[in-house]
Amino acid sequence: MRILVVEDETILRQQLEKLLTQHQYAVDSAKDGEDGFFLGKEYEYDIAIVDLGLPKINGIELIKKWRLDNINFPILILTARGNWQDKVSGLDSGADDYLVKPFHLEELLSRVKALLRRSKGQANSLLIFGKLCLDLSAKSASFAEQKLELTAYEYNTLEYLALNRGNVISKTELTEHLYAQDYDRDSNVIEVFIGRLRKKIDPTGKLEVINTVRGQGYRFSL
Amino acid sequence: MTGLSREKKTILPLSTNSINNRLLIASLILLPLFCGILGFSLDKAFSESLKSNEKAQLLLQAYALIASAELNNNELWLPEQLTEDKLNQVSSGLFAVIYSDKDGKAVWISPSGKNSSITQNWPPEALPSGDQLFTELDHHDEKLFSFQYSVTWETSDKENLTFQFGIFNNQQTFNEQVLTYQRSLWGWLGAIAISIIILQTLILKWGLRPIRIVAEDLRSVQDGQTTQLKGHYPIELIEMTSSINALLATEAEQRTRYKDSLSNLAHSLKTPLAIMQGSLYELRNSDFEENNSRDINKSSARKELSEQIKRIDQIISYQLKRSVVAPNNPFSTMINVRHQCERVITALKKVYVENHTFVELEVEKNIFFRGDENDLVEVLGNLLDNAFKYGNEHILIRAKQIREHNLNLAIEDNGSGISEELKNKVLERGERADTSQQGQGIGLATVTDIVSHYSGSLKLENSKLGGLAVIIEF
Repeated sequence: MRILVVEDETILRQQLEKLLTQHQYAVDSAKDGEDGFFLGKEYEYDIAIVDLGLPKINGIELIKKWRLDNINFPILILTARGNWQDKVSGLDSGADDYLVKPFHLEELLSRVKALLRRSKGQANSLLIFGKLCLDLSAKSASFAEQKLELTAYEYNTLEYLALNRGNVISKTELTEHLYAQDYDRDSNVIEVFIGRLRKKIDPTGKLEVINTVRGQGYRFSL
Repeated sequence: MTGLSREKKTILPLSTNSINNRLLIASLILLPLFCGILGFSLDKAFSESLKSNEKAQLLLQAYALIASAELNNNELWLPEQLTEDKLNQVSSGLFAVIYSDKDGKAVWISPSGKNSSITQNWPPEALPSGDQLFTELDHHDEKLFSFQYSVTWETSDKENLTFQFGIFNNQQTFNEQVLTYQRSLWGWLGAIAISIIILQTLILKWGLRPIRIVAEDLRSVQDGQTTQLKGHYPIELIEMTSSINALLATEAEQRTRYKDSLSNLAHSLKTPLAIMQGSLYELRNSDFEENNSRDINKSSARKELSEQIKRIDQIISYQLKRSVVAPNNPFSTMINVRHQCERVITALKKVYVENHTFVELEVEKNIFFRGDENDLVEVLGNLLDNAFKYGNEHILIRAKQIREHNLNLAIEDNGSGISEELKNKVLERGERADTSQQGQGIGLATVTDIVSHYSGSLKLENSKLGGLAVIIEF
């Protein structure tokens, strides 16, 4: 999952980047509204975390501009004042949830996960497909009640495909959602992840968890 | 509501607390006084003029008598038929008497004066020759004008004989003329006075209309329908209305600047707190990785730091929220309650999207809150957030107008409610009835603070829905 953090305070921004990266998210960040707007418009993010008190374009204006441009990823706003006028204005402008500063990073993580889950139409954090089970909250997967030993990238690939079940996902799209903007990408890596996932989930290959759609990409078929 | 009273005062009919009434009362006092003095002067002048005319008439009569009198053998003779008919007619009101100074007796009485008794006791004194005297007499309820003229004849014996000519005229005609004049005079003066008062009332209404327009425009500003006085005012009022507009603009600007400053202050204080909170999290994680999590000293220090950050945050949040409450602003606006409810509900439904909460909104479109929009949104946000959190997916919002500008707002839920004991406690700052939910813990206390700033009241009751009912009047 790829997250955009727009926060002007460098230390807080770095803390958020570090936290989210540690939790296996690909993170891009911007220090003001202008940069944030550009990134949000240019790349496909799964969620954005936006501080309301931003320089150049304030948080509310930034969200309005994104929504006017039909950019629909979920947005979590960070507000310092915590008064309801700000929260309501933020949510009115197109944000989906708010968090008042100072916040516990665990709280931020759980809000991010809930928003991601909601945005993919999932009511709870457990995705169950027969014997395969994904815990979006713990970021873990199990098959026939046996925990699968997946790397962060492998898990993220599986989660993204599972959340977009039935849709064909191109390698480019997968790459964009798995890696941050400044990461050196190699689309062949995706093929490697898919191969490993198939082996780890279903070594016999009978279940056909992930299908290859020739010339288009991959589809989660369970 | 505290602050400036915005009620439209009822002006009593004769209250002096009104420019219109003051001018009218002054007119009502001065106009009759002026009319009275004018009427009295005209009346006096008219009477004097009539009397002067009477005197001239009597003098003419005297001259006519003197001219027709003849002295013969030291006796005065007058023709039997006099030129003036009234002197010949009995009880005509005009009569004449001639006395001789020699024996003090009446030598001649006109036929018209035969029945008058005054002729017996007149004159009171003899005038020197050539003198005349005009007087008013009141003789046995008979009011008369009298004119006395003293004339001396020289006889053939070179003897001087002096006669006192007395001409009398009844005052009845004079009085009737005066009365007719007075009736006419006072009638006209009364009509003029009434016309002046009616005209003055109309002029006052017209003249004071711009002031009334300014007052109405100010009321519109107070009601929040407009932010400036935008009418076309007369030059005498332009300086005042321009000053009021400048004052309104400055006040609005200062309020915005004040709110912006507080917002900036909140941002600059809370972001470092968020960083501190984040650093604590990192510290805990690194300790955990280094297997230092069992170090009791470090653990309690982290806990203490976290507590203090929370405390500082609560103090900042509470004081910032208190400082932006603006109930005393006389130019606060009329806020549509239903619209603000809908805004907050829409926002909260996004946050609590998984709750599927049903919100019943029993608020008419014409219900208004007179105050600051931020205060109403803060109250609604805090109460509805609690109802979404602690309710069981059913919320009821009721609002009605009380005492013209005050609002009765009730927010109820079907949650488990709170015990009687807790009801007072949860209103205290930072106290939370249920710690299972994340929150600042100052929500209800903030609401209580806002309501008390508006001199309102807040009650916690049991809702018909089964949970808590928060009822506010402010």
